[in-house]
Amino acid sequence: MAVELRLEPSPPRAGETAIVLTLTDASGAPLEGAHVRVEGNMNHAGMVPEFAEASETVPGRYEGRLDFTMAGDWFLIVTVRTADGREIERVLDVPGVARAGKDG
Amino acid sequence: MPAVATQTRRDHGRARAGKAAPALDLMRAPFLGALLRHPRIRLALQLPMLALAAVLVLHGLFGPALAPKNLATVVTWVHYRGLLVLALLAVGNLFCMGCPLLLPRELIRKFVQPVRRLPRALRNKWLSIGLFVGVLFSYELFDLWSSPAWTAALILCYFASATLVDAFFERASFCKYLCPVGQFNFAASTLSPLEVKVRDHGVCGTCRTKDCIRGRRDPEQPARVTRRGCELDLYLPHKVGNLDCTFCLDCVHACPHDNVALATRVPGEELATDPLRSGIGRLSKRPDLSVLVVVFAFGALLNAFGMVSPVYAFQSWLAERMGTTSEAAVLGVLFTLGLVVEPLVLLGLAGSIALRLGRSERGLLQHTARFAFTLAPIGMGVWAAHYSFHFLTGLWTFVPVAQAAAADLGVAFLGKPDWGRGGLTDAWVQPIELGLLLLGLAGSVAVTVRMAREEFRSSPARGAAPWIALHVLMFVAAVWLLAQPMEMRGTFL
Repeated sequence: MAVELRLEPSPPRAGETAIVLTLTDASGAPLEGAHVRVEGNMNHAGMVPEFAEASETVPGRYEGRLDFTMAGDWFLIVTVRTADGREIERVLDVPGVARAGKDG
Repeated sequence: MPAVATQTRRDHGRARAGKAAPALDLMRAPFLGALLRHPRIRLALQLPMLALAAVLVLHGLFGPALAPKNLATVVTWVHYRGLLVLALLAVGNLFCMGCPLLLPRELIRKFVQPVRRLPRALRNKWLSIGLFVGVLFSYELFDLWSSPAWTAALILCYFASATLVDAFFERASFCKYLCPVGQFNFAASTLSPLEVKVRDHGVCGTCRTKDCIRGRRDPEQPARVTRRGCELDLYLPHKVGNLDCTFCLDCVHACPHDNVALATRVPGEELATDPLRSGIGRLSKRPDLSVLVVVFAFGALLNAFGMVSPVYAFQSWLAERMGTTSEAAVLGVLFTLGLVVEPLVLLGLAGSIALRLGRSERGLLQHTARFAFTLAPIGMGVWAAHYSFHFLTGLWTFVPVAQAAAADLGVAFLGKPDWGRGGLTDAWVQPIELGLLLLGLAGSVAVTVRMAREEFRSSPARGAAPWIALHVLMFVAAVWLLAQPMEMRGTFL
């Protein structure tokens, strides 16, 4: 399974952020009907993780919102439960989330 | 020489005179006193700490590679550091007391006793200051907070170093001269409310065996030590304050007269006086200790600076000006500015203005080295504010990580990981941080005022003013730093 991540705003800033995940299977076809859960975490210890559900808006495309509570390096753990019951996990780095209101 | 000897005796006498009967002696407290006097009390603290260290190393090396999911990073950088500074402030050097690094060497020393002393050239704090800076530098360069494996490697490195050094060199060479955490604890414990001290100096005056330093001997075989004395070379009747004291309680267990107290005292008072201290000498003759306190205080600001947004803009600017993409080079410049240039300029200015305003004839270097000790309280305030922020905001974060680690091992009784567990909110933590900083500032001012009365007999207030201005400047810098949006990043280039 391949996962493509897009964030809005991009580059990301601290605060509520739109997540768009495009999931494709090994053949490159959109992965439909999956249940997608996203856990956002900072790369240092001591922070409470943020959780979000992403729902399918078009086949293979899942959208949700996540709160980057602080500027810095984040990573997302994307857990996908496919329609046939398999569970797949991917870790995606989101480095350098800027502080809120910072340009660029 | 006779004059020197007389002076020395008089100073020790003054130190003794200042040691009135302790207000509260924990050794005499019901239950706790008996517990502290138990010969295995230190081992009872060390064994759980050793078990914890083993768990951290194993989880760090073989557990999840993600820092917030790993006990090595969560417990080391959030809980251990926070509890360490809070224990130092509330009680004393408890973490040296329960330090598990010494257990492997205790095992080795059951079979082989080292006979060499650490070379004389190394019997000071210079090397440990370098190691302390090295740890702070590595923390930033290798982003230790974000790497369970590197954190585990650091713990293993501490164990290996302590074991190797103390396998070759007798007494507590690693603790006294090398351990970076130990030096941090020694500097911080000058602000602790408890001190290991003599209960009644009259009893020591009649003592012939000096077991507290020489160790208690087997009456049948006098060469055989049955209870060791102080391995940090602190002869208790002449010990002043907490510097170099690991709270190991060896002196308590060695003293045949039950004459050692764990007593309350005025935190920071030991910084303001300059008697001859056993195992240390005079603070005014120990430039290495002055530098240790300076690095302790400015290192606190630098370490806090490393976690806020402006540092990344500054580092990027610096990298551009230097024409480099090497993080080590940029950090090297940052550390040189923060730990060498800035202290030299600020302490030099404070010292020279103080000497002029206070009309003192003392040399600038001598004066500045002595008044550098006034930075310890404000430095401790900054460390405590910074580490208590991480500790209190991440108070319960170890729970889901431990639950997940147990679940990975097939242990179900801890329950399903509850990742929503955090800690106190900023609204609670920020006033605590400010309170700790204010305590630090108040401590530095109090120590300065006390020292200025001795140093500037004609105009102590004028002499103290530049140093107090420096403390206020450091306080303002710390408040500004802790008010900045946090931005923990491993990359900036």
